[in-house]
Amino acid sequence: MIRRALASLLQIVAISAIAFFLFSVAPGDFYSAERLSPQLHGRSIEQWRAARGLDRPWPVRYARWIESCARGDFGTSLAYGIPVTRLVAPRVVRSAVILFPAWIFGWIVAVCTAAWAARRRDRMLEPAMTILNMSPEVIVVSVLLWIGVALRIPLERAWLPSMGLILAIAPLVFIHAFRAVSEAQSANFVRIAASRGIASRRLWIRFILPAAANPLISLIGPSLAAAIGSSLVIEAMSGWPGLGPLFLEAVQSRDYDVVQAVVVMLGAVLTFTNLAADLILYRLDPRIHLNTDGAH
Amino acid sequence: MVVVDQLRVSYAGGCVLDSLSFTLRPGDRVGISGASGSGKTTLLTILAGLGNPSAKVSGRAAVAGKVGYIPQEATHSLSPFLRAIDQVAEFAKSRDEAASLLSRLGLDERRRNSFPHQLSGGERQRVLIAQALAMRPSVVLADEPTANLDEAAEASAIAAIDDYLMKSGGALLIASHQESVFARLQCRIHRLTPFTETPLPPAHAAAAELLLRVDRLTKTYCHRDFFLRSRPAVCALAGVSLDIHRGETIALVGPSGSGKTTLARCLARRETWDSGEISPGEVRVQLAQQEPSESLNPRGTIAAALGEAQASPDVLESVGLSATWANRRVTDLSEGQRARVAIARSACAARGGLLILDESLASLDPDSIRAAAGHICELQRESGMACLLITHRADLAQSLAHRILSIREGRLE
Repeated sequence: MIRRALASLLQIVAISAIAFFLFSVAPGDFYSAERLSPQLHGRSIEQWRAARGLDRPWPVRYARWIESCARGDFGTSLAYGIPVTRLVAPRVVRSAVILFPAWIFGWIVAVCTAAWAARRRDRMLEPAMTILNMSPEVIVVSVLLWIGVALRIPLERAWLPSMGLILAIAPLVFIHAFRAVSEAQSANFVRIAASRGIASRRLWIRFILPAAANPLISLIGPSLAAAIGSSLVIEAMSGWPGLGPLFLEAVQSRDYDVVQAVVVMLGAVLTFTNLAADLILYRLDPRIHLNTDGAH
Repeated sequence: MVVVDQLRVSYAGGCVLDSLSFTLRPGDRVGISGASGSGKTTLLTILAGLGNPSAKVSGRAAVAGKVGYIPQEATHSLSPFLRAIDQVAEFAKSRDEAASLLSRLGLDERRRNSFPHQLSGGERQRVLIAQALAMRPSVVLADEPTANLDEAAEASAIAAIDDYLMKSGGALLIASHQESVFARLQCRIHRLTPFTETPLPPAHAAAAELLLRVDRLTKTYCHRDFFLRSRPAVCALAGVSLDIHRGETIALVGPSGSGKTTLARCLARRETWDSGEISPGEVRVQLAQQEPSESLNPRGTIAAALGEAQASPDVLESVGLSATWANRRVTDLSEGQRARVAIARSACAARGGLLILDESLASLDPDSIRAAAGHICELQRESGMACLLITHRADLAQSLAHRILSIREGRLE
């Protein structure tokens, strides 16, 4: 277990290194745009770069970055000139108040609908959800915007990004939940239990749902990743002042400390979500062994 | 209680049951016998309301009252998420009743609290018997309920079913290929197709060349405690040494939980062992499991299944099936026929190496056993393949094996 947690930590470090590397091999840096400015002298730009350490090779910069992170200093935004923590923290809170409730609510809605549809053996919802799952956030949010304008709902509220996120998550979860429940329903042991005249409620609680929960727990991590990805786009589109607009802007202007901090933070959130999902699966499914010596 | 009138069932491959008619009154006991593929399981699943949707059914098959169905296949018939006791308690009046039923069938406290994957095939089958009896059915439908059981377990299972029927006055419809079971339950016998009685093929002389040496093998299973640390729990092998020669058949007998399957899994390298050695390492080993048909991809065809072992469809002939069946789907064969295909495939893949049959023959009807044994003998003669036969049936061990080893608490005797 401890080994698993350490592996997660290592994974986060690896994510940060890869992000750092990819960002530094891409051509240009924060000052590339300034170079075009006629008022600025080339020499002074070079001085700025040197002062920031941007002229060094990336492994050196990465080592420095790691070292400052260990001190609790995640760097300073080049664009805003304030520490990354102070810049990112309020944005994270604003994103989280949208992201997590929408994510959880999307799951609840999706699982309930899926169980209901599977119970009625209703095959109509699945293709509809597949289409919704495939449609890009841009279209979904545009439609929501249009509805919002038509209904005269104030657009600066949180409802637009929340609805957009729920619509991004729920179809994904629905498709998996529907298949899981349908499959569990036709499992041999469920059919046999049903043939023994067990009450429908007991059948669902004791037989169908545990079997269906199994594949869904593995979806917790990927669904959060999808939610985060969607939220960046949806926030930027709906003008919600969360992490999304800041991140996109930072990527464009190559404000590398900000990008790095956001990437590592999201990486950490996802890694620990996956770890938690594995633990839940381990607790729920008696067939899983953590030790590699347990065969299978 | 049970009325079957002009029942006709056909699959894509042909007709299985044709104009079958009979009735069962309370207290009646009927045993259905027949070769593998004669429609025993089809009849019982239709009566239990679990018929294969791809079957075409005409005529009438009706049951009045609660049906206690004991399926033939125990692996997928129990929920993997419930302990044995809960599987039964879910259908019983009380937990105590479930516990007493299970202990009557020979499952002790530890096994009652185990999950299905921790139980052996025979133990799972007994959980299914307990489950069916716990719901107090008016008709018991049993499909090969004792196929995977050793003698003691078989006796307790038969006694439990018999007792229940005496007390409740219920009816019994039981399918089996062991007619002795019918006699012990005082059943009227209904034959779907007659058996042909020919003796098992004799074992041929083995060569003295060493194929595989097992040297002081030990293995202890661990279980995890609350803090997810592993603790040694069961000592499955306590220093097993064994020489296996080319072309020979060794029967390994022993009570449930004596380490037979663990040894087989170690030989097939599906399990790591704690100490000891199996040499040489490069011998081909194939393990056919207790329910051999489980190893076939249920969505594939017979030809595809055989192709995985580079076996040609002609192999089907040598296990008494028709080579023209190669394009049938796995699910269109009966349990016995699937088992024959799976064993034939394992045998082909083990050519020149070691074939392990872990109770694979136990649930088969005499025809299938004969066919599979004949095929294995042929391969032994031709390629010097050795065979380790794990079984609880003394008659099989005696007629098929060159020598019989018995194992008890992880030690060979």
